[in-house]
Amino acid sequence: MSNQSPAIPAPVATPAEPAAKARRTSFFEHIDRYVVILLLLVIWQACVDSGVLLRDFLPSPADIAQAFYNFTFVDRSIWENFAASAKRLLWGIGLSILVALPLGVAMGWSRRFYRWVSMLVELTRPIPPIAMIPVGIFYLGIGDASKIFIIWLACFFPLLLNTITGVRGIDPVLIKAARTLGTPMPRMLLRVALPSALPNILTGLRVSVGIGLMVLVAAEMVAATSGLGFFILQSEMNWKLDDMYAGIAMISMAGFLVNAMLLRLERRLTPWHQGNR
Amino acid sequence: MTAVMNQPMAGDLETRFAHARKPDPIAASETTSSGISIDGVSMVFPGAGNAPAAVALENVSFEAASGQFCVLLGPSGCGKSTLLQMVAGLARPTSGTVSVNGRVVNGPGMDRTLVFQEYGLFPWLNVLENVMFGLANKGIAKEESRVIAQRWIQVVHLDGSEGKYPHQLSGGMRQRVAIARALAVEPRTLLMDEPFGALDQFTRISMQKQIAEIWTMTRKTILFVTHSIDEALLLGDRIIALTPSPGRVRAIIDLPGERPRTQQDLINKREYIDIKRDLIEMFETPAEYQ
Repeated sequence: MSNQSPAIPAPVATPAEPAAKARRTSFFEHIDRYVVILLLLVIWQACVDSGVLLRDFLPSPADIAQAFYNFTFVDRSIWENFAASAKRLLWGIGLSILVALPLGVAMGWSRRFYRWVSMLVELTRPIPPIAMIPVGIFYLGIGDASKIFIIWLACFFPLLLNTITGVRGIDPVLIKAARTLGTPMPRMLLRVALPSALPNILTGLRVSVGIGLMVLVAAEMVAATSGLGFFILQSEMNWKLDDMYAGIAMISMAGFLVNAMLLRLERRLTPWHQGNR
Repeated sequence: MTAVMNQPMAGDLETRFAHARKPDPIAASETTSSGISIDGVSMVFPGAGNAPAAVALENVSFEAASGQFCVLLGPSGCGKSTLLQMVAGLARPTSGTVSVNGRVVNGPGMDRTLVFQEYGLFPWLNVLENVMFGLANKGIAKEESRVIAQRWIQVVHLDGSEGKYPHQLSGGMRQRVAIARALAVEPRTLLMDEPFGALDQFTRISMQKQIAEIWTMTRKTILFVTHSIDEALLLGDRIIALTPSPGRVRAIIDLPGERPRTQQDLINKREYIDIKRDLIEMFETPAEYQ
């Protein structure tokens, strides 16, 4: 009963339907989510401060935070790299959406078209996008174009496969209803197939962004003169481990934020979908 | 059994819909041609592998006059839904012809729209947008189609819910949206595939009342599939009774034309009691094979 006394804020039990209720709760109600991280950071800090871990080999969380603060707010050197990476990622994903969505809708809708192109898809899909980095560099150079190419390739398949699955999963009654209402084919694909597949497409997009980020950093480490991957590698080579870890932390936070934004977008765009209700 | 011409209904129902009647889209369309004609229709589904072919319908023939409320009645598996899909143009008969208003059906058309038991509403569109969906296919401008849709939403008593999405509506409300959507494109024929099958008894009764009112008001030809004898008696001018495996027409019954019929009539009036007894008896005795 003690946890019901007004003096102690009672921990709110996780509601059965978190999507609707958890959205507007305060930081303190979610403090349990951060406890483990904070604890680990404290132990790490203590280990470095007490000399159990050598600072030259592993900077403390405070050092990393200091480095993070420095390059974001003091000399602002990171933003140039951040912008370069963000630009490549957006272009890559954007172009990927542009190709994968129409192709996926067509492949999901028409069995015949699927048979035509499925072998091509199935044989190119297993190639790790990272294996294509040299190909990109050879033909497109070490600038943005080769990075965008690699990201485009990496994002393409999750988007394509999810779009196909989504279009195949359309409720047949919806197609019948649209047909009896005289819907012509282009409108059928655009106004019935595409929105019906949207929940799957958005899932595919989230997967794509994750993979895109991975591949981007790899490509920037192989050959680049800017970008977060480049920055992390440079820091390591200059033995600036605090910068290196701060760069990694930045990617972690950027990825986390993008995912949260996409989840929110999913709820906004597909409120009818199970789990978003 | 009694064959009585159906006559347009006057009286309180008419006045109740007075507000909705005024503009064009709602007015009853001219009934010139001959309604629905099913002529010697059979449907055979080829068996997969070594399985024998399944005969869903065998030599089915009947007619439904223009403006008539025609009910296809039968147990599940008698092919009544298949028949309806054929009239909608979503399925083709193996043999025989289906024609609507004098033209042989060979594909879906907006002159006959279908209402499904599972509603078939687009979950990403709200009530208004769902009702407007077919109007865009007719090339009607957005502003005008909004007005038309609004009016049909009023007819099904859903005004105020225009902005709601299907998942926010009850089953009865969803089916009313589907009816409004099917009627908004001005079909001459309305096809209904067990439209109230998924609804609870009370909602069902209220929906039956509403569809009778809408029919009285618009005088569409309605082809209505059901497996409920009471529903057939309550709504139909003509009942086509089908027996299963293979689906055949067992009887065509024309009902007395008085409207509106109530649940009370079915219990109290001689003629309905007789027809109901005949129907039950008929469905209980196995069909004799000629």
